[in-house]
Amino acid sequence: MAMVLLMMAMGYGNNLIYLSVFTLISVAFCSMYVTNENVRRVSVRVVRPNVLFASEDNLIPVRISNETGYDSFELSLSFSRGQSRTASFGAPARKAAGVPVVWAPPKRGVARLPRLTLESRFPFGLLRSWKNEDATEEVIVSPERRGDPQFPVLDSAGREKGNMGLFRDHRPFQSTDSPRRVDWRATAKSQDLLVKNFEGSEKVPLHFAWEQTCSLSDFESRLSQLSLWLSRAEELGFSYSFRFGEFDSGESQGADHLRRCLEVLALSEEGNFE
Amino acid sequence: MKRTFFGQSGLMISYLLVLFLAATEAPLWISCFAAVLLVWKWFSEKKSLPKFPRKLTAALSILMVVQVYLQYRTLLGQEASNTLLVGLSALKIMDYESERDHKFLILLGFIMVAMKAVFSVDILWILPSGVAFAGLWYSLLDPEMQRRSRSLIRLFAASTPLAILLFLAFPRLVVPWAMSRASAVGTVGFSDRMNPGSVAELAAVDTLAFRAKFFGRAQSLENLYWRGVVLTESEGLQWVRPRNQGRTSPRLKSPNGFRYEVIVEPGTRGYLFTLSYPKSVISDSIQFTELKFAVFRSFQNLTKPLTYQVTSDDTLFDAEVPNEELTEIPDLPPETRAWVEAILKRETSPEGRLKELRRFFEDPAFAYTMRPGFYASNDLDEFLFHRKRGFCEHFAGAYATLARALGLPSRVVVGYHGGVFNLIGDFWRVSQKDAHAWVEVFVNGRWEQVDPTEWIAPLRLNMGAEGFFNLSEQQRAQYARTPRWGLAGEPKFSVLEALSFWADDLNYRWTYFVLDFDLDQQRSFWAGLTRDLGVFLVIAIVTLLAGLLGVRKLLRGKERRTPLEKLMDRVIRWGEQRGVLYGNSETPLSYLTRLAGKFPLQSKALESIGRAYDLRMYREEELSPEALSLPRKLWDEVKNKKAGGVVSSQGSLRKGGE
Repeated sequence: MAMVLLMMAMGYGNNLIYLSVFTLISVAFCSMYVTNENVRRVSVRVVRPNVLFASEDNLIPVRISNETGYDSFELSLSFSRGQSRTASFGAPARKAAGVPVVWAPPKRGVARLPRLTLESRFPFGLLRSWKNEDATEEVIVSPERRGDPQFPVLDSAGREKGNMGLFRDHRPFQSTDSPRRVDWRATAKSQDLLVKNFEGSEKVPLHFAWEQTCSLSDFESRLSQLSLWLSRAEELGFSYSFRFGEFDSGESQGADHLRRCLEVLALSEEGNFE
Repeated sequence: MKRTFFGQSGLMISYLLVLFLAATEAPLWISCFAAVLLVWKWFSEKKSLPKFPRKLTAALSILMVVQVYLQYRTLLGQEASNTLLVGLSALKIMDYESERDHKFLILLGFIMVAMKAVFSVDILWILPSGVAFAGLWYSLLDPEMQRRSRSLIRLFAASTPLAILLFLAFPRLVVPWAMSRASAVGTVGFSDRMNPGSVAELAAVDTLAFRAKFFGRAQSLENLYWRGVVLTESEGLQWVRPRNQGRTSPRLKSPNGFRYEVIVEPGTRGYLFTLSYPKSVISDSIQFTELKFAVFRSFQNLTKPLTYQVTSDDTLFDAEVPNEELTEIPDLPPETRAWVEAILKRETSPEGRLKELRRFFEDPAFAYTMRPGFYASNDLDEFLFHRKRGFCEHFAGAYATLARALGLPSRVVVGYHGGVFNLIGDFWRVSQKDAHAWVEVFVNGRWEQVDPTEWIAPLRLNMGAEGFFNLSEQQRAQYARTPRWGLAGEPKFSVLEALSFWADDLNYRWTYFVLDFDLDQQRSFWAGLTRDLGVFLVIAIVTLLAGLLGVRKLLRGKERRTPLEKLMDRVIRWGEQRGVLYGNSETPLSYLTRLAGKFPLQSKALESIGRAYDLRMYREEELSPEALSLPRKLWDEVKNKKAGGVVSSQGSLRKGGE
């Protein structure tokens, strides 16, 4: 546009157009400096994510910090081109904050995080300034979570007796519950299939194993199914164990336990253990 | 994010202003078209009127382009481009809803603001154009941004030095694609033919024609006959310029003369206006030629106001012997022919015939009016013997035709008479209102100026067009023949008139000093600056560095320092003055601990500062105002306390050193 106006100014020999085009150019030039400074004063660092799943939008925590005495505005972060960008955020002076950035790794296994780009079009939205952060660390990507969300039936059979505490109330039957837990008397009264809830650890431990996915023929589908169960069990607060070839996680719960189980799935290769 | 045009006050106001600026130079139909679209858009955003379908917008765009082409026969001229811009931006507003539309609309707006400058460099337009320009930038900023106006002002302030530098340094090259500002369509301007009514049409508008400033000699209004074009071919009342305009007569020279400078506006067909008799015309910015009968014209139509200097000598006269062209007469209608034949029989001398002509036009039945009714090009009988109502061109045209019929070579001069003298700026403002036509007759071996209007409406010539046409129709009819009516005593000016003088003077200066900055002025400006190259370079480098630092500071804004950081700075300064230097890799807390160890009297205050600093800066806890001010109070109380073991102000340890 500045070129069009410059041509006009030269063509008409009009100093007023010259004046407006030079003002345009110098405002653009100054805003270029502002845009660059706005990005330059902010540093970014990718925090190693705990668990990542293939083919889905994972939120990777990124720590942004502004050590200078000047605020930065309208920043956004993204992992390489094509990945979705975060909403616009600011980085106040001498402050640090965490910003989750979406990354959808295409496949499971060991991967390197793509280049992280911090960018800004502040103040006018016309010029873009950016800086890249190359992650050096490798991350383990778990198999895609896909399959039947219902846990395998009777996976906790025979182990739940000792886990029951004092009776609290009734709740509807779930597919993961053992039929032994059904309170037939209460069920007869209410017409719904009810099980007893107990104080304390009313959630029975779950047990996952490779064999439970034998109905699925495809190797990756079986991994995906297990990945789904494991992460769901963790999300729902179950205690669970996982047996996969020679690996036996033992019964536990928590982020580290989940990561250990998923890592086995992520790094497994077809034919190594069956 | 979906955007609405009328939901953003910054964009709406600045864009409506931009559209208004462009619409003042566009035909009425496109302004109405844009207005209807805007009303529709308002209703569709604020009420429940349906959105304009994109297909309809596309169809309207095509129709509008076709209409513009049909009207102007081109899409490239400035009028056509401006009309297109008005229409297209109004249509773009109809589609406006996304970030991309927002930016596109603003870029269009910048072009439209620049386009306005092509049409008018009048200072009166600078303020609205500037507001629109700033408003467009403002609307580019994020609506949620805090202190938008302040940030924009800072950016503009930081940009100004570079803009001025570019303005002064960018070479004003004459480019091959030089565009013409002049237009043949839709504007009233000076013409090189005179039809009955054409000068009256010109005189009905108040557009500026040119400004003139005399050096060293005051001029009276009555004598200001600004010659423009000389017309030599008579068709009765209608006159046209000569077929061959090449210059034939030698340039007259004399040691006398008076100098004046003229800034002529575009729209005058390139004619340069001069007073009789122009000895020399000089211009750095216009390439012009001298035509027959001391007429000056630029090679190209003017695209912007241009300046030229003239020296005229009123003691000189044109003595070029007229050729056949200047004696040709059209077929005279019967009554005119009969009158001419009667005079030819009665008077044989040129002087006698001139007297008869004057006597004829002094008939009180002749009336000077801007609305004489329609005359055909050779309606001499109707004008001279029946209706007897005319404007200056009717009298001049008829007089010159009759003079030729009586054997006196004559020609019609069209130009301007008088003007309004600006007391503040000491210059004459000549507008289209002052358009005038008079006659030059060849008698006794020289061309004499004759103005028939002088006999019919002397008040118009003495009072000037501005004053005369401000009179009521009745006053004009009643007093036109009273030469000094209403002119007794010193002229008095109202506050409004004084203000208009002031504004016009400002405009004159603006036009003269800013817009006339061409290649020559640019060269002389830089030559003046770089006369002493060494001094210039030193000043330039210092100014550049200072400018860069200033711009950087302006753009970065004020550094945000919390009260605790400021207090920490003070403590560090205090400590360093006493010889405890702050290490490069040292944290504030370890420095405070080190300092507290050395200055026990201040240790409590330093510990308090350290605690607050730790909580606020590292743990990012919000502290109450009291908790924040306490360390400062403590520090202020103890900082000047001295005791044994305290380091002297010079930094040397007196006792119990490190």
